Order: sequence, then C-alpha cells, then structure tokens
Amino acid sequence: MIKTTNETDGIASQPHGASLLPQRHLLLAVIPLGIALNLGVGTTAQLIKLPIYLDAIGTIAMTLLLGMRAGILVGVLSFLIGGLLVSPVLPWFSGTQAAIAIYVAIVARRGGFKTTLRVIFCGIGLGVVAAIVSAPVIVAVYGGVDGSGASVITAFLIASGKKVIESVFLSGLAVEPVDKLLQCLLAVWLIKGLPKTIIRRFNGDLLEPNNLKMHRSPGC
Amino acid sequence: MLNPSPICRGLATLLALVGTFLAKDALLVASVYCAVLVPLLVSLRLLRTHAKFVLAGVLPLAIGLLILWGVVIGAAPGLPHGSAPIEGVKHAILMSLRLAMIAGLFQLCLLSLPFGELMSVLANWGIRGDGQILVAGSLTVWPELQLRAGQIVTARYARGLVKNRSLLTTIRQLPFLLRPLLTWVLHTGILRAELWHQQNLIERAREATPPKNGTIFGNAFFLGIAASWMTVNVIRFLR
Repeated sequence: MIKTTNETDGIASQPHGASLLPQRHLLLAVIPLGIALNLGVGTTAQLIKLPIYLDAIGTIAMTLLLGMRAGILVGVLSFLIGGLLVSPVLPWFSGTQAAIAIYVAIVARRGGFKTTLRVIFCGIGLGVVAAIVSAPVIVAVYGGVDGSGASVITAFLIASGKKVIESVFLSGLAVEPVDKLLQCLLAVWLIKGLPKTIIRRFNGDLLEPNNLKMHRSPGC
Repeated sequence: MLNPSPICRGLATLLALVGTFLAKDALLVASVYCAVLVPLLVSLRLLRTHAKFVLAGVLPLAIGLLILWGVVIGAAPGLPHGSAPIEGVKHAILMSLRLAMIAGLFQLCLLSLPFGELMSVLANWGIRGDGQILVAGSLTVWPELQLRAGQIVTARYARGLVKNRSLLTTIRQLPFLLRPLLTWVLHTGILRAELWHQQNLIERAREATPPKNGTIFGNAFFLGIAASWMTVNVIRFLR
C-alpha cells in the first residue's frame, strides 16, 4: 500500500507555488507511467535487436526520483505486465527488478550516483547483483538456458563441462555489468535532462545526495 | 454466456497455471493448447493478440532454445552434454509450449475483461485501494505511451532531423526518444494527479466497483477445464 502524504518517500511535500496535492495521488499517477516507460524502452531495445536489454531504465530512474518502494513497484509490475504483452520470459525476472530497485536505493542514499566515476562503479555492482539474483531463476525455470544472448555463453560453458549454475552465473557476470552500467549512465543522464519545473516536484532523499537537483535545465 | 465470476476467473487461471508447470509431456501440452486454449482465444477475439505475442516473443525464444539445447548442449538438463540431442530438443519444445500456454492463459484471464469490469475484478481478487488504482492504471497506460513515442518520432521526421526510415536510422532515434518520453511521463503524472485530486476521482473509482457474478455455466466451464488439466498433470507428475 502506498503511504500517505507525510510518510511517502520520494515526493516533494509542497513545491513552489504548486496546488495542494496529496503526494499519494502523485505516486499513483506516476508509477503506471513509469511502468509504461520501462516496458516501452525495453521492448524497443528488444525489437530493434540492440545488444543490451535496457529493461531497467524506468526502475532506476523511478527509484532515484520516487524512492525505493515506488522503484520496486515500477520494476515488478512492469515485468509482470510485460509477461502479458511483450515476452513470456519477463515475469520470472520480477525479483531481479526488485533487487535492482533496492540496490539503487541503498547505493544512491550514499551518494553513489554523484559523479560519473561513482555511477560506473555502481553500474558494475548492479550488474553483479542482477547476475546473482537472476541465475537461480534461469536454472530453476529454464534449466540454465533461456534463449537470450547470454545463453550462448552459458551453453558453451555447460558444454565445456562446467556446472549449470556456475555457467549461468559466469555468463551473467559477462553480460549484466555492461548492460546495467549503460542503464545507470542513461538513467542519470535522463534525470539530469529533466526541466527544473518537473524535477523540483520530486524531493526524494535520493536526489539530494547525488546532486541530481543541482543541474541546468535543457528546456526539453 | 461464457463470462465467469472474478473469483472463478482467477481460480481457473491459477489451476491451469499449476497444471502447465507440472506438465512433462510436450504432446499433451500441444494438444490442450490447440484444442482448448486457441478456440477459447478465438471465441474471445484474442487470437490476433496472442498470435502476435507468440510470433514476436515465443517463436524467436523457441528457435534459440532448440539450437542451444538440441545442438550446443545436445542433452536435456541433468544429462551429460552431447549424450541425447533428441532429449534436448524435446526439452526445448516443452519449455516453449509451456511459455506459450502460460502467456495464453494470462491473456485469456486479463485481456478478455471488458474495460469497465477491470476494477471490479481486481476488487474481487482482493486488490483494493491504491493497489487497485495502480494495477488498473498500469494495464491501461501502455497504448498512451506508444502513441506518444510515435508522435516524437513523427515530429523528428517532420522537422527533417531523420534522413530516412531505415532500421539503422530508427535505432539512432532511441536516445532522442528517451528524454522527451521521461519528461512527458513525469509531466503527465503531475497533471493527472492534480486532476484526480481536484475531482476526487480516486475515491469515486473505489466506490464504483460493484461485485460481479458470472454465469453458472461460465463458472463451471472454466473451473472444470482448469481443474481437469491440473488433475491430469498432477497424476502424471506423481507417477
């Protein structure tokens, strides 16, 4: 359940000159749109066969803007709904999305998205987390090979005599850090490009420690 | 006539999903898929949606799985690699059929709902309050985003910022799409929240969710099929 006005994380209590708006309403309105963004970008990347997934940009951006709980909701719901509309593979990785939101929130609270160098380290760390969380799912649901690009590496590792879980984890480690690093960089770039009038509405405790409210508005 | 109550709709889907997870025989899954699921999808006018989903989502995955399990690994899980390519192929086919079946079941359960009944079904499933608004909003906002993305790309074409409509050029539009999309997402969210607050729409939406009762025939039909499917697979699984 979304928390009420004073308890909700991630939203400015009353931005400059804004009408009296319960923050719960704002969360309820923004989260579905974040889900659509997550799905839209991921699907586009999948359809045009980009070598990266780009399926967590919405989760990362919404976690930074709205807080951990909203990030988890965006990630998990987008993958559950994506299973209905986009790909049958997605729902099994809802847990990975929750882990991504939790990791981003923890790291962001410590200023992990403050500089490009920090974002790079956080992105690589996020890739490792995603690989660890996804590996048991891939083994349990697909027997180790799920048909994605990383599965080719997994298959060769299994064929070379490695254990299934080990192969899945190693192939995840080869692919995920690059993908998640790019997604973290993209998410920060996107937030930095938001107009001031919009970003000042979001006064989450994750934006301030990362200097994400101190940028110049490009006037999108 | 075939409209089940929300509780029966959810329960039948759950039973059918359990049955599909436990299924070990690809031929049986294929038979039920073709003889039961596809006709139901046809009768509810969901075949086109499902076919698009299968062609775009399941088929490429199935080809990948066939190559990997049948050729590269050459065995089913648990067997030494290269020892049984046929078993590997069977495993890949079973996995693909299961995924197609699960997707079909979810589509049958949720996409067959008339838009007006969505809130009531969610309420009957115990998803109430903010969760109900969130799920309903998430399920309905997708076409809006597609429309907005299309508008951004069209605007770039109209301004002469895109040289041609080749695939490579389209790929290059992705970064230009992301920023306006995120801005639109947040801006629309703020405007929508203000509108909801001013017109008290969230409270009114909650009140407008009367309980729904399906037809007895619809309830019995869907529950019967799902329970039979699960029972068959449980028996075969335990054997």
